[in-house]
Amino acid sequence: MKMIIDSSLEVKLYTKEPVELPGVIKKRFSRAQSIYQPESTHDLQWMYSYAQKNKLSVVPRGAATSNMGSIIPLRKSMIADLTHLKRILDFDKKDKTIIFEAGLRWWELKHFLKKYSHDLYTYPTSLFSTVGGWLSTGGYGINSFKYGHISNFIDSIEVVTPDKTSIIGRSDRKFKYFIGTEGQMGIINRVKLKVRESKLSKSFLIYFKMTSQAVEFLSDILKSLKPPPVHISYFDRHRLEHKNLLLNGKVSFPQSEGVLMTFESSSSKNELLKLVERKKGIVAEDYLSSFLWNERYFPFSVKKFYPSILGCEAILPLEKLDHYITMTRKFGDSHDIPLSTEATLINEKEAVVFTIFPSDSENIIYILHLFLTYSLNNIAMRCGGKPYGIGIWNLPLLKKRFSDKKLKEYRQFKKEQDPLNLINPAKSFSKNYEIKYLLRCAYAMSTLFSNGISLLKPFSKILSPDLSTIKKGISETESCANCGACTLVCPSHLMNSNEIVTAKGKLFILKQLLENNPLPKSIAQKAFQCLHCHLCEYVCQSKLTLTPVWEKLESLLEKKFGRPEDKIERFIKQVESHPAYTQLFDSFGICSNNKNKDLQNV
Amino acid sequence: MYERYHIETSPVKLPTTQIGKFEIIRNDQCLNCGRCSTLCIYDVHKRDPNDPRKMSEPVSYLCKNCFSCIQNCPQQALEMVPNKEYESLGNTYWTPHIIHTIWNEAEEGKIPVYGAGYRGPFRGAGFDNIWTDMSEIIRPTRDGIHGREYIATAVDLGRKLPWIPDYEKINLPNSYEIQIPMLLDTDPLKLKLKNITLAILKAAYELGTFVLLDIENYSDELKPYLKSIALRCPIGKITDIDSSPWKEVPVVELILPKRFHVSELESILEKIKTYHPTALISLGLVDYSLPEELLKQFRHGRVDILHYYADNQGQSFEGNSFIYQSIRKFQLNFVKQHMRNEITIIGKGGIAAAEHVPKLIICGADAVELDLSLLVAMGCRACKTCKVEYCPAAIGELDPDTAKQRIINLICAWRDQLLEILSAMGIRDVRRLRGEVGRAMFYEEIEKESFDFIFNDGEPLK
Repeated sequence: MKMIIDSSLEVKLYTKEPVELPGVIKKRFSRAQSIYQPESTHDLQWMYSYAQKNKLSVVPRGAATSNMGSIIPLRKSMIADLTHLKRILDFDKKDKTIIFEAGLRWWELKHFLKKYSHDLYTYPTSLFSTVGGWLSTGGYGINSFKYGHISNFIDSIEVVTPDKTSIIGRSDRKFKYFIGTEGQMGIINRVKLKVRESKLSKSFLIYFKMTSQAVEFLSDILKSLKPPPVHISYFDRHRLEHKNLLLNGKVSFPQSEGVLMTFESSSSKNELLKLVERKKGIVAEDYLSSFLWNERYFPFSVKKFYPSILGCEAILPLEKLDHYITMTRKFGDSHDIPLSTEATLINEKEAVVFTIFPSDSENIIYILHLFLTYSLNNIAMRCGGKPYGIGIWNLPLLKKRFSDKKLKEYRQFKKEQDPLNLINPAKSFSKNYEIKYLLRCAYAMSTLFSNGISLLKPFSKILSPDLSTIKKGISETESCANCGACTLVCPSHLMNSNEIVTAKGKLFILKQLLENNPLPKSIAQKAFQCLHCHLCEYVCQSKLTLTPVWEKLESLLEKKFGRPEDKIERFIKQVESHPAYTQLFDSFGICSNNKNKDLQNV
Repeated sequence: MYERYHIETSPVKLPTTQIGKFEIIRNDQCLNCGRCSTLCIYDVHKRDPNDPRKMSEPVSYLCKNCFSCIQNCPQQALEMVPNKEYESLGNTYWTPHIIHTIWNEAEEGKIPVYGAGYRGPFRGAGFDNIWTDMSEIIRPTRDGIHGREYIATAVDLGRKLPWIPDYEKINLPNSYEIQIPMLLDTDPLKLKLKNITLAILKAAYELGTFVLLDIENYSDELKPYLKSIALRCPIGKITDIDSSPWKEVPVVELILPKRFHVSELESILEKIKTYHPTALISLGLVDYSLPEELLKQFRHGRVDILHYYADNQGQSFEGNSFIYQSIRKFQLNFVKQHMRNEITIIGKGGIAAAEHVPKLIICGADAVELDLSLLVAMGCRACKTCKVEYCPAAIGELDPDTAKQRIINLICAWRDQLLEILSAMGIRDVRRLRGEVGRAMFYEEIEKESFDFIFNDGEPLK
């Protein structure tokens, strides 16, 4: 099936990301023409030739969860929605390898492996992102401390470029060019991944009064604890406070810094407790550590309480973590912005830090807030960090990630692979002066804030976000993080292969409706193709209450466009007779039955 | 033209009988996936007709407890809990299960299904003391229920001659054939409700059987159905014996008071014979001991039918005997006197389920009379105390045609079950089942055989 979606509204939906670029940039630069959903290698090749014929470029897109504008096309493009390349092709239990198409989501992969009591080594916090997508953008996540970057476990990848399809092993010279390069070198079509047998794990959360204590404790652990934990995260007190919003009030995290560690063997438990005592830490209750461990899948869960969340993500040397946190706190205090930080150790020397603050995308201040993310990035860079992802937004930081020599090498490779510059053009490895200079200017301006120029001090308080919205509660249309989790479980998406029918799409429709934007009847009525199954509610990363919203949306749509009874009936018949539909509910059933076991792994 | 006996059923729902054994509860885990609706063959689960994307509330009373929806729900969103209203139905004899079964039969006219299987007990009080024995070793089974072999359920009311004494002057006694071995009581609880009487009478008329109608309930409205009426009257209250209903009904039943004089009875019998020579005469007895002077009346051919009355729970009014024990006594008595064929035995009281009919026939009855079960078919809940004005089924306001169809449905279901039993036994005529105690095992007898010599030194247990 070659599905092409080309209504402007739907294309707009497909280029939505959890953190939006400023509207100005999107309007000025975004050149998305249509969405194409390839389902096979052949489709990918056809897509290239079609793009070439029609003078279009191709922008690969996974689940659209990476932020930074990586999926915003800067040339006239068709977007390749790769989430339909999702077949699992082979699982070798003896060899412990699995071959699958790269549009598969981590969630599906983890479920599949669970059936055979196998598990992944490293996996992302956003389980609903695609494997190919994570390979092209991030790569550090859960269990990264012990196992490192995901590319350590890739046996080989199959890459489709405009002129050929090739299999590239991990030891191959070319391999590194496809990892973390946002699909600019070619589209990853298939992946052969190493997996392992599942193991039980146990998490400990340890509280400290001061950041310095926590960091000292971390370095002690790295030195002396054998066997070491598989996963280590640091949560600053504001991050834990955020998580308190999700608890029922009867239990809560105290006002302190937290270190979360996960072990896959119990032998180091006594040693750990001794160490905790020496460093004057307090071990948290089991249920709180389990809760926090479970929250690893929901990095954006606090989104529910704020209109938007903004932040920066960077790789930082561990010894500078304390310094970074002091700096950001100072910065936050001086601008009255509640910053919260989480850091995940990726080896004994580095950590991925993730600093976020609430904002309001409807407010004019949002644009200024976006520049604050640059300021935060600047602080991280001054602490010796490098950006985690580039996309469009972090283009000014490109040089921090790649040295000049490396950049030249990568650009050379890009030219070899894609001489016509068809795939994801005008990003980090091509020349695109206009946006680069614009963002560089913005970045330079933002650094003024972070450098604490005293002239700006009187204005800085303007930036403080209006947090009264927390009490009012904000509408679901604003709280959707566009993470795409709902697209995986939505039975209607299974039928239509169109995100407009999923929760993400319907909240988008509702927003258009409430803002009186033009909305064609044919698109609006698609919102009725919903089973009210609330699966979207189950997986929602922002933990939104969606069912009442659908009732509201439908009554609004019914008033304006009428109710397409015959279409609804046809939809039900179609959905009930679809074989994948039964499978979907069965797989979800397993998940919900073993919900606790699955998520806590205790 | 040859025509097989056939009962026409049509489903009739009553709002008052929609009480299920269990309640199916759908919790908010439900995903509206519709798997329950594709699995359920009893229409418990359906999509909401107003919005087919959602499931409507489960119709619990249709549930046959097969658990298929509960086991296959991907969300485990369905649960089944005992229904309190169900458990409060009826009394110790007319249990919720019995009432619920009759309701099902009356609604659909089909043999009811119980999905979760029968978990025992394997014997109990009353009719549950009898196991029917369908061993094929005795006779090969017959195909009755699907109609490939015809099994007769018709029985005769009236005397049969033991032999023909004189071929020159054959004077056969009058008799009537009814199509099912079941007669219907028009007023089981003495409620004197016209709609109920009419419904039962019409049903009997269509079914080709008789009703028993108390003389005080007779009105001209019932005139078209006179040919299906057995007129019942206490012996002291007989008047106008030469007038309308008396002269036209096929059967006249006399209820004997506790104390009576035989000469009084004889004169009345004479009177009926003179005014209405073709009528069968039935004697209604509440006592299972048969005094010699009464036996004489049967022997001389003055009485054709013995109609034994037990109470609604099958217990005798006098003494302590369950209905099937009393009927067995009559049967044995007449067999010993070599006059079993000269008398028709009908039993009434405590017939609450389909299998009670063949069980009573095995014990020696030619036919049974249905009473309270007919009211239950109309929605009656066999409450401990019956007050028509507070009736939860509003029986007084029931439409006679609705009630009639429910009775026909019930009888059809019971007849089908009778056919099943007969075909399993390899018997092709219900008349052959009468007194066939070899086709049943009686718990008290088996208990005696097995344990007497151990516990009682050969003395019978008390």
